[in-house]
Amino acid sequence: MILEGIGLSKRFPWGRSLTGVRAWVRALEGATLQVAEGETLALVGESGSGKTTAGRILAGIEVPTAGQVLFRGRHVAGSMGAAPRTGGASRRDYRLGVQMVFQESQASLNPRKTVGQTLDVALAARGMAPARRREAAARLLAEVGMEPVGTFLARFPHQLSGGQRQRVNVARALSTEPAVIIADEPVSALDLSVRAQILVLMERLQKQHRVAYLFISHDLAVVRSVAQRVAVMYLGRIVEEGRTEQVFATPLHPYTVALLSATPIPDPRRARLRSRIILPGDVPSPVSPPPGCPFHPRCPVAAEICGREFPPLLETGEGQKALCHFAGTLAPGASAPGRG
Amino acid sequence: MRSDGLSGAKVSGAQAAPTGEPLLEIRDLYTHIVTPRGVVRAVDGISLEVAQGGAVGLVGESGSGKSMTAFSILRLFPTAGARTISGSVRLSGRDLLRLSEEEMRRVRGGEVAMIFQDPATYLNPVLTVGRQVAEAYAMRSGWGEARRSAVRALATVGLPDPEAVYGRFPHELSGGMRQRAVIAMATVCGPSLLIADEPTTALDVTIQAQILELLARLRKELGTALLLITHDLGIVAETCEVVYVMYAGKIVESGPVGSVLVSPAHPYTQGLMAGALTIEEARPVVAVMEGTVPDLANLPSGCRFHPRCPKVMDRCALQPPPEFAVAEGQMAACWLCGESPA
Repeated sequence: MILEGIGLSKRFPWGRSLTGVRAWVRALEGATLQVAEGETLALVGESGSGKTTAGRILAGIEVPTAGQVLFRGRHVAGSMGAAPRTGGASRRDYRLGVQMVFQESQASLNPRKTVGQTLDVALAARGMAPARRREAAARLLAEVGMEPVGTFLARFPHQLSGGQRQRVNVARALSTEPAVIIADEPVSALDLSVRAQILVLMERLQKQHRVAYLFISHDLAVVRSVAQRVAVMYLGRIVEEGRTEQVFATPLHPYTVALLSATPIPDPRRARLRSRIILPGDVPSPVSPPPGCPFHPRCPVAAEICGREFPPLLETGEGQKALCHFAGTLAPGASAPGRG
Repeated sequence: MRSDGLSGAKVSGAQAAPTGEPLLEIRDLYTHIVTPRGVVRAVDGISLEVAQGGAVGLVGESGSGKSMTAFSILRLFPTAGARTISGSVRLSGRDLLRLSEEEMRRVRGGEVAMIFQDPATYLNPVLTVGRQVAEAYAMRSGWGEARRSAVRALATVGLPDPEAVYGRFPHELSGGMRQRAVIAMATVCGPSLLIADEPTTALDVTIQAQILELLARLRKELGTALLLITHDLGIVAETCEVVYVMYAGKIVESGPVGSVLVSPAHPYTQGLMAGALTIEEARPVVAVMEGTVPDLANLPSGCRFHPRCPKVMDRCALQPPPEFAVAEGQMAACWLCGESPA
């Protein structure tokens, strides 16, 4: 495993009462994630599921409240349980080895730096001599398909389209020759045709550089095509995990079944034949998650035990896991009893 | 399922027009925006119809002019300098472009209502949800009747405890509940046409499913026709009967959803469909189309898609293609689609 998060939890303070006792947003609760070398692991879920927090912890942007981050099997300093001086991965190896690409292509670029200057900073961080940086920046831009390179090196972010800016962000991430790129909704803000261009680019770069992706997305259709493995999150927890074909063909967790059922498919012939599961209500507040299984208030197959006891992790022989008392009982395509 | 509906509001305009006539009929509509960069030809000669109680999808990428088409129907423009130059927008036979401002005000929120992508920005944060829902109705009756209608509308859109929701402020509701409140606001007067501009784009997929089901139910129960503007082909496939595909200010293809999305004729639609990913199978990601949507202030000659078209011919750069009939009810504006203009 190139990058692992073990039992990651993150709580953010939320307000303060008169007695000084704070409430906590439980953004992430005991999530364990492993990214293998050169693979794409998709982290899917809706807003508030904790997928972005998980990504930011693995990227070293946030420090977990509990749990550990391991890079190339060694503790990363700064995360809990890390051995700061001995035995840990060097901060520098980790910083260069794990890069991030964000959804907001504009916000993640310095508006006052040209593309060339932005890449120069990244290459300098890697310790490259000034003389070699310009050539390296040009090579990176060519690699992400921004040609003529000379023109684009001198451009400012506002002079680029959304797709071009995202190419620059990918180029910057690549500049440190990372082993893992954590991409948080990298194509969600882009139009359909541009989205395909960026996905094709990311796939090509993965093959050429053997870089692994932690691909954070709410779009299951994109995930199906780009990821080898999928982890589904709900209210701070990973509720299902497995190889992409497994999870899409035989989802075990009722939430995964509902998510797939709610995702529109672009073929009208089959779209109309599907029966849909419409989950009632909203995702509960992560400040006061429900007792027992976090999904039980919206679950079509919830029973009495679900409100009382935290569900066990069921694991199939094929490595598919689900956090549910009744994993596998809600068949995909079935009409749920509790329609809202 | 609730059946109380919006019975207190005036009966949907669906019955008003003679049968067989489309509810909405747009002909040769041109809406241009004058900017310092030049004239942005956002809507450049489009024609479109919505049947009584029908569901029509208007699909396109950003910058295709699809939202500006909706604003042209309502004669409300978010940008200064936008103006409808020519064309007609007939609603139940009446040309909205010829109405006085006073008459138009009665149409908005009455016969035609619109909902937008981000419900938060269209709700006033310092007024209660109920007051905002009741307002359009109160313009036509008193506040007492308007309040009762608003509570009914809040119930119709599936908000639990509508009496309580009436007194809440927008920030006290979740995103999905806000979009329901906005839909209640739009439908309180029983419009015959609801224009929904990316109504679920800002919402999570399980909440999106709730809202799409609600829109389908309103259509069935109130006979409200739907003009759904979206970039999501899956939503169109599941919600609409007819689809119009827009590119750079023009309709490039239109027809029944079952034809256009299954056997697209225009290379742009073909590209969109070929690039469409689905949860049903792991398709290889292909970037069929290079480049981006052209600048509407600086359009290519001839067919506007020709610089990106994989099947481009010499003729395409010279002459803009007319619409050709390619199948029952299906039209495509492409020189590949035949010799006889529709």
